[in-house]
Amino acid sequence: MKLTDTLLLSIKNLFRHKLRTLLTISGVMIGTCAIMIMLSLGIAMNRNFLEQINQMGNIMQITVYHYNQGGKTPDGKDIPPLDDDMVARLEKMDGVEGVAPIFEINVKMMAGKYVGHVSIMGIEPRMFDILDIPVNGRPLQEGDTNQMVFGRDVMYNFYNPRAVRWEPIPEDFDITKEKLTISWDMNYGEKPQPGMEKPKVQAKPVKVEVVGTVEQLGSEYSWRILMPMDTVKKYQKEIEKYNRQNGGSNGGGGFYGGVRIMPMYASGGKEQEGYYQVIVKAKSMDDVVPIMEKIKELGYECFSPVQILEEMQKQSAGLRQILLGIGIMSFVIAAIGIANTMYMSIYERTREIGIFKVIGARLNDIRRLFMMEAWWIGVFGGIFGIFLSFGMSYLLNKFNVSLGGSIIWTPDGQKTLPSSVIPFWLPIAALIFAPLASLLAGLLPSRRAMKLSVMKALRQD
Amino acid sequence: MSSIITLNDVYRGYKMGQERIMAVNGISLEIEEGEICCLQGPSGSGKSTLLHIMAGLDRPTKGSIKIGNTRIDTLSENQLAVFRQRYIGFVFQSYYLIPTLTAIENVTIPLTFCGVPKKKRLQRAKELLEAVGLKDRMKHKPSELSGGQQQRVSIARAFCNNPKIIFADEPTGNLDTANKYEMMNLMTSLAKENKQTLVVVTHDVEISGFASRVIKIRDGKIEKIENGRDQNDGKMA
Repeated sequence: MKLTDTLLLSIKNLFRHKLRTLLTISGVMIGTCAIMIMLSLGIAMNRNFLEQINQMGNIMQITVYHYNQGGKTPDGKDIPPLDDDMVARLEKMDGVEGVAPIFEINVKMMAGKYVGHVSIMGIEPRMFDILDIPVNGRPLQEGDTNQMVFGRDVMYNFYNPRAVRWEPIPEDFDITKEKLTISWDMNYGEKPQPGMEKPKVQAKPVKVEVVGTVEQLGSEYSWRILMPMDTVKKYQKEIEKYNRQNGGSNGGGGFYGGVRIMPMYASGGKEQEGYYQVIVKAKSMDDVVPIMEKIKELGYECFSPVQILEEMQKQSAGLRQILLGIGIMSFVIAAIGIANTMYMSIYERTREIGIFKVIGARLNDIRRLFMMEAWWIGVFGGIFGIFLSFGMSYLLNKFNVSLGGSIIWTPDGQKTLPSSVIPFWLPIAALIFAPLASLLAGLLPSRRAMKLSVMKALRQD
Repeated sequence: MSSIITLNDVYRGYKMGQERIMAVNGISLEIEEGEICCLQGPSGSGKSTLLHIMAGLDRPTKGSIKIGNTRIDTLSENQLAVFRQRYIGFVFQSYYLIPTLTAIENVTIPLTFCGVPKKKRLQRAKELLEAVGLKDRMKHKPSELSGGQQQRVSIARAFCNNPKIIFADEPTGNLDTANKYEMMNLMTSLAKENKQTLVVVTHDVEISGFASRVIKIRDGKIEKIENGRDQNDGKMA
């Protein structure tokens, strides 16, 4: 018997009992929908974690720390300094896109009548691309010296030093349009107060210029001022000089993560040249963990949001499994429904099966005829189930029924994360799974139809 | 003429509770190609069982059955199915049509199982339904047809894959007298046209008039073999 004939005949048979078939199909439909929705909730949950983590900081960045506490590498050697040589070495690692040393200095900044304590981070201009720093205006370029990229939230550090009471900078004050100067003297711009010691050597204020801003709320760069690395290193030397000239204790600007690292604890390691902190950017998310393992072998500590993501995903894995379990359970019930329908129809059609056998149906023809009926139920149930799932998913998202999803803030404002996400592969998988599972459910009933004895079948009335 | 069906000392026993009943009790028989043969006997004589065994629907407890040169009692169920597809057609007392299929679809079923393409199937079914006089009833379901019409459909179905042998089990049992003769005339003429062998089981003495040979069966044994009244043209007025 040809396959097309089997398919046509089986579908004809199915529609002999429209109501029963329809009920069985709706069972499969609900089962398919249950699995899809449960999976879509889990998928949405994981995606939302990723988005939330990404909000906290770029997921592909690894922050490497070196506290120079005199610890050893895992194989017992002294930890090498985190200096420019090491930065170059890290940059050559597999999967690393770029490495940015963190080097910050604290200075006093004046903008119009307002002043503020700010920290300036040195950065190689090419790192703007690698670290995906979202700049309005332009990022720093090669050849920039006194140019800076100004994080929007830095303005909250400014206040009016002349005011009698605390007077922060007004919300609508555009700091970037002001004439900006910085100084190593932490009393720069302040109203002289009694008892305030005057520095022996005055620090000359330096003019700076804003070329770009970071407006994105909540971004790690919105709290920072970025300037070219060479400029910041030059400033650091001047701060050291200024501190030396003034005995080092009279409110001079500080720095950390600087080129010279003092041991953190007295009992710790020797004084080293290097950075406290560097940021390593991986090429892809999959590279992050291997890179971190290699860095740990060198003796440094490191951190990446991926760790949080993995932890969150691990914790939610149980929940997702339970969800999937519920989905599968409803499909099993649907499959039992299929088997039940099949047994019913075999019982009713015993005589017909007998006739088919007498007039030349082979055993396989009979079995296939019934298997195809189960298959059709699976196909229709699967298709309807997919449509139902999209509808359900739409409703879940519309009414924001949420499982681990929530609201996040983006540059465009508030954004609600979806509670159900159906990726493109899910309906395809459902369309394969539902008929296959239905075939499985039809296996035993079909065998029974196949094995019916002709004589017994014919004798039945 | 060579024999197309050869039964050699065939037995078929059943268990009825504690008792063992021999429905077929040692029958040896040869049926020749192109013969129109009637198995006649009262009900319970074992004639239907004998027919089922000859057709490969049932297996003998003992003995051998040859159709042509093939021992069918040793074939597997699948081989039997293929064998039936190719060589055997059936007509039953209660027609055994598939109630959900139309007349023409019912006739095409055996061809469907053989894997004949749809166009060819329908053409052949049309020819046969025309031959049995149901040209304008092709799209009707069995429930919309009279008993006689249903039996015509079932005859068309039996002949549609051009079998060597047609087995008819009480084909006229549910029909009135007029239909009975018409049906027998139809079957015998179709069989003669194509030189097919026709084996009819009946308890009806009148039917035997159509046969070239009447085999009387009683208690699972051949009681008597008679040459039929009408050996020449198989027709009765």
